[in-house]
Amino acid sequence: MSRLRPLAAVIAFLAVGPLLLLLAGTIPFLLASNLVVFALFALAATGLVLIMGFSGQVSLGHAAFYGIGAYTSAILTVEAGWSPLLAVVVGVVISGLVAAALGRAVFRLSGHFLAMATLAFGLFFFYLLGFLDITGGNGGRGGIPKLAFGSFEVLTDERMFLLVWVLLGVGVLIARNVVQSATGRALRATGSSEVAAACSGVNIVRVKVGVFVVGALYASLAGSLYAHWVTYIAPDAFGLLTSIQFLVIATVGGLGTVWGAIVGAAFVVGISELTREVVPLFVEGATGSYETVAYGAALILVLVAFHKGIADAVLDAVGRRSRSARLAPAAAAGAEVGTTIDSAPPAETGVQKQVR
Amino acid sequence: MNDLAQLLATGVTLGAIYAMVGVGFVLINNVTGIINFAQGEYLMVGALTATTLLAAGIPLAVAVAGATLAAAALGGLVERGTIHVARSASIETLILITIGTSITLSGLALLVWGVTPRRYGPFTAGPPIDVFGASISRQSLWVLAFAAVVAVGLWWFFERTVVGKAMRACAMNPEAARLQAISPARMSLLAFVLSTGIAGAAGAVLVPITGASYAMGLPLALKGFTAAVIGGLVSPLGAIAGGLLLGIVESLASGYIASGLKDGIAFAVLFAVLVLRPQGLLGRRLASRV
Amino acid sequence: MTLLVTHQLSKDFGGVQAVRNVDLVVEPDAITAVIGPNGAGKTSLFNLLCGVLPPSSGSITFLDHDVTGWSVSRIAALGMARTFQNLELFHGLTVRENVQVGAHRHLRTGVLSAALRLPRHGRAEREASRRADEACVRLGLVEVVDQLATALPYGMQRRVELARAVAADPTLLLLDEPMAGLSGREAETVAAMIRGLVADGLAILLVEHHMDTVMRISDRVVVMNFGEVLADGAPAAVQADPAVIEAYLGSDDSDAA
Repeated sequence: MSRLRPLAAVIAFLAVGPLLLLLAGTIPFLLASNLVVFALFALAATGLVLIMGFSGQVSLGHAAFYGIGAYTSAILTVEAGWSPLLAVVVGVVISGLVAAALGRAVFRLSGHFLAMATLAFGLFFFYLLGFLDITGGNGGRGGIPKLAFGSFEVLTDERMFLLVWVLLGVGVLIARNVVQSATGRALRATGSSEVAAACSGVNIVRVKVGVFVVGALYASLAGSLYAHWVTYIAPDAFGLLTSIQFLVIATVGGLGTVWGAIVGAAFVVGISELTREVVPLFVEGATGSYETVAYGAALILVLVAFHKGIADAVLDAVGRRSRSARLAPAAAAGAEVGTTIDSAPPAETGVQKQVR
Repeated sequence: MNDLAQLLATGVTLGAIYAMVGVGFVLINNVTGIINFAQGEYLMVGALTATTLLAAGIPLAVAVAGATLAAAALGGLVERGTIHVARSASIETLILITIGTSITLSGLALLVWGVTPRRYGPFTAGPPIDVFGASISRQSLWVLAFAAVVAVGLWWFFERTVVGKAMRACAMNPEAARLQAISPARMSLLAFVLSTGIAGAAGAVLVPITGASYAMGLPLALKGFTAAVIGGLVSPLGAIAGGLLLGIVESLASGYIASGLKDGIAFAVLFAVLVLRPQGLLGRRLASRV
Repeated sequence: MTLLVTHQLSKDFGGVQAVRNVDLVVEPDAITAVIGPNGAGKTSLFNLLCGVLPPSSGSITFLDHDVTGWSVSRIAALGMARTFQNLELFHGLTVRENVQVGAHRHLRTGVLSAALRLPRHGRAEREASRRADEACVRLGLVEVVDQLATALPYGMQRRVELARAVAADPTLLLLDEPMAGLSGREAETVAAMIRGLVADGLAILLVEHHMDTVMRISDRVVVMNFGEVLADGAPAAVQADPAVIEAYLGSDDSDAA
């Protein structure tokens, strides 16, 4: 019986995709290209939700893995003539390796030190992109081929969106599967109390590095897809602003649930488009940082008010049960209930009740 | 030899600025345990405010004072409005809040002052001064003088004034401090106002050298943080030493290795310090948990 | 077979000797209490044994393995479990989930099997649930298994942490003040539960301040002061030891609440 719920969810999720496209066809401000960006960001940020929300490691360099995926795709397909699908896979592998190295280097850090270290990493990567020849320097790389599955080419925004949407669904499903398992519990335990987790036999290093790697894989996949969609990439898309966007998506959307990134991405891309319409009326020549006011304000407001993010707050209000992708406010545990010294008399002693 | 002297001179000047930002990190961190990601933005606000005041015909000294006050007032406002309100949240949440503040401030600055960088002339006119074969601009001397004044001022504040000693006490042991009728909330506010004020003033002094623009905050914040971490995040003096060290390393590296990667080098240094020696060169506090 | 042996175990923190040349032998099927004034080094000793603190000198042998310098999770995997003086429950996890983590060392699963829901995952889940449910029954937590662990009353939280350690099916159980902050009746219940756990080779090392209870349920008592072992023997003998009496100035029930 319990198998039916995930299946129903999957079907519902898949059905929403075409619905959104229909919407894009009718609403003037919503374009299929917006939907693609939305889905790509949601995919990349789902990885960040795993890293930050469940293991409690703040990562401000997530865009670097997005960039590794994109540039690997670009370089392998353009320079070496590889097929895009293969390039995507290689990008994922490389991201995984880099993430493993990064995770290994920073696993002892926590809080602001970790945030700073990942920030420095992300920025260093960004500067590297603009510096190296093979990445095309600040000019970037163009001529990236579109994706193709045999004779089926992903040429239009609509096709791209559906592809990414399906992958996003798979990604969220996998994330949910991982979170709701012994591995997921070990992950959340690590984010909550490393000492207690370790004393229960959880290999802290493996968990923290592991989740870093998994999160990077999501970003890398999204980055490769992005490259094969826009066909021209430059360092600007993989710098601090993008890392911040991912951060806002994950945090505002909700760090405690695997759906958080989807909610957050809708919010961020929405803001982005909104400001794109409004701000040109006031400021000329800005390269996109004008959105940052909205991001920053949203980040502050949500964190001050909710401590956990919008999706979490909504789910709490609706009264979700412990079985679904449970909250693990490792990164935003402000509102956690404290212990009460005054203990009620035990409800039972030596219960003989049968446990299922 | 001249080259080396020149690079060193540049490095020391840069380092002095990093030190001023780093000092702010240390002050706030010691009292509240928070790393104020937005620290660099106050430098930016001070810089841009000074350009506006000067353009309006206000005398230099008043403009610099005004910039300092603006930054300090903003810092106080932010502390009360965000940090104080969310003070029961976890460290991670507070960090994210300061990141949000950083983003918001630079975004607002863009809206208010626009994209084009602004500048005004040095405080005192005149040709650069020759020191041991290195040519140091007059404004750089102002920067160094400013840093020296701040260093001495802070020393005097912490050693000789009641408020300063109260702040040190609060940093060492908030519970005990509270028992002595020292309010951690007030100390937090004071730490913020002091740090952001210093940053604002530093910004105003820096404009003739680097110009002022809405985006100048973050790179300086990162370098200031690096300075603070090298110094062990324990004392303002450590941050100053760290800043000078970072400035010199950056200058030498950009001179002898590659100038294109100048900023990249600073980030690599930051990463290396955090990963290899988070307690810095002078500190004893470690970044890791058990 | 002796479960755990320490040889001249020492730990100093830059001048402060927290633990000094401790020779300890822990036998199976028994409760060994470690008592002493605050600051005597009891929690430091625990932290040394489970690997949280690396020793400055000396050695620890657990189940015939030299575990000196081993990582915490490796020692835990061998069969050592513990509870904490200040509760370290996992936020955001239910009681059952908290206790299931305790069984971690018995599970054979990983990211891949979880992600793809391979058969291994199902087996691991059943194993985790079985062990967790058994522990919850033993500790009287059946009514609350689906509640957030940190939302429970303090007394029950203590029991959750105990259940988590029990779910590991350890050979050595370190209990750091499991009755701290509990009322007389609650403390009695927990004491009875602890006594009931000792069987089938399990050894318990217990730090507690509820002196009456400790003397009543323990098979052996080790007294520490200033990082050293003052006395080591049966409860009655230790209580009569003049050195112990002097260190304590008479026994007392210091309730940490």
